[in-house]
Amino acid sequence: MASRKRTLLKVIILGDSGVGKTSLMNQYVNKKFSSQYKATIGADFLTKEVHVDDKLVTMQIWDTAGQERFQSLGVAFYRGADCCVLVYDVNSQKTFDNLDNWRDEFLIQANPNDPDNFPFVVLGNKVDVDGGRSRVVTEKKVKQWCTPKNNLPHFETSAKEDTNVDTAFQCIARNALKNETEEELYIPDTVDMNAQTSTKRSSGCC
Amino acid sequence: MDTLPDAFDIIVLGTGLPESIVAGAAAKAGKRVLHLDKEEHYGSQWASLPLEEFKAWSTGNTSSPICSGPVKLLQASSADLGASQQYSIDLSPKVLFCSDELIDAVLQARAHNSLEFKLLQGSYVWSSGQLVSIPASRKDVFKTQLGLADKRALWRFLKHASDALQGQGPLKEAFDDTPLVELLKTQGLSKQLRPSMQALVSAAEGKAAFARYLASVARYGQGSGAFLALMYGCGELAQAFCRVAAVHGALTALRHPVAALLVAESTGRCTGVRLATGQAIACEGVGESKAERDRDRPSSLRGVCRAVCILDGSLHREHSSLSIVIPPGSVPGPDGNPHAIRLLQSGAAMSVAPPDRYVLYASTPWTGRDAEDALRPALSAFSN
Repeated sequence: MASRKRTLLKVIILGDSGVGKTSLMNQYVNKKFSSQYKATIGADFLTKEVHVDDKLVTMQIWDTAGQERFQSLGVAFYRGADCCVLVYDVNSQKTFDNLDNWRDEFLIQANPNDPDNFPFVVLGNKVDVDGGRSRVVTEKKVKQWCTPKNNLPHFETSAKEDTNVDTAFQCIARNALKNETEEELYIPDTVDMNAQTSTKRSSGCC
Repeated sequence: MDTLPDAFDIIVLGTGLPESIVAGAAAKAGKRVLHLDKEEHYGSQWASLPLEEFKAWSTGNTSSPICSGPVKLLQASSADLGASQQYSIDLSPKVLFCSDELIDAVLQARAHNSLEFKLLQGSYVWSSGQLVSIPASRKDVFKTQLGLADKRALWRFLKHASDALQGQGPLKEAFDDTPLVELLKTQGLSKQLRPSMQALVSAAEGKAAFARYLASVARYGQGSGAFLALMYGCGELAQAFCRVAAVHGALTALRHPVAALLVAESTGRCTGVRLATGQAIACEGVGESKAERDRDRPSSLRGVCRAVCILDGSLHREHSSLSIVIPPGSVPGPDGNPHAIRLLQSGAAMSVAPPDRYVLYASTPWTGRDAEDALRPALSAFSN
């Protein structure tokens, strides 16, 4: 029980609406991309088993479920995150400027033990758009933002063309795992809510 | 910021537990749902708040149904309470029976993905100046301090009671016809034992509550206790259902007060809402709990006296999360309250308080007395 918990990594993806958070997840986990935008529907989180060095870990990637549209992500969403992915759209200055807000919001709400060293990974998405001609956020600007914050890892990605997506998530997994093991080993004695449900359910009508 | 669309199937006002369950169910059923709350945070009257926000709430919001009387903030000492953010104080403290229908609702909606439950470590009754453990199972009976005759009687009673609830055994008729108090007497439970059994259930609920209790103790393993408590407080429950709604397409917006309900003159039906911003949004139906609707109106309803205390030590040597029932008349002080006083303690292990700090909720039905008068004797009994 304890060891199962330990290798389950919770990753949350933050950023403005429409920067491609769901697309990045979907490309990484399901190898699928849909150019049709719909505000995130259907999945609480996606999971993927990843090898980090020789260790097999399960990454649970949590989407905002559209609750970011009106700044309505509740504190519960942030709890227990091992890594926070900050996504912006390289073609939109505003989405990059808002990274500060998302990072602050995360640190306030999640209240991690060691805020200065909490692993964030920064993704600039949609590098494919217009063959890169509509880009407004340069790599240099992002570097300037990431460097003073303990050198936050940064990747430029395209969920559509599957550019850098695997590499980015590999880094996310590695950082999440590092955070997990560096944290004091807290073994939660929480109840597995599903443990008794199979027998209970069998008598139900659905 | 985005603007809200102008039409939905259903608009749910407030993010308390009932409202959130409705929003989740409607969104799952394929309705276009708009879920609004005027506050900064989720949970309405079901929220769990950091200490400073809780203080602000308690001084600013005194006319809501859960808080109809004046709220007093007392400070016993200038002791350091620790970081406000490490607290999660319930506006509606609650532990759940393991077999509670709400648990089934949580599982059915798959809301448990974002929830963490722990078993309440102990249930006690205050008897003759000490905490007496309420046995959670027949096995527990033998670990108690009871004499052999009492152990036998209690063991036999629990067995017969659980048989009777399945329509079997010698008690199957008696269980339906006899009030629990009488039943305990006729089954040979001594005076010492009866209070702890009675403490489990209120007279009004009787058999149903006892059945729920027995079903609860077995649900998550032998001897595991009957109650579940939520990590980070009860506010998580409402939030989990809000997320279910959002995951199924509901649009959620905090900090969106509604100024008016729009009603069609011809039919008298509600056809939408007008936001404080002036925007009108049409819908087929509005979902709102009574408590939410009455939130800003003075209410004549005065149901429960409640105290929230912050302790620098646990009421129990080993346990940090526990419930205590204080039967009427068992603590000195002004009498006249025919009801039990219930205490619920939680702490850092549940992530609702900083290390070495505990949150204690005390409550008793209101009988005309000021909450402080009604609860202080019980709290004083533990203050040494």
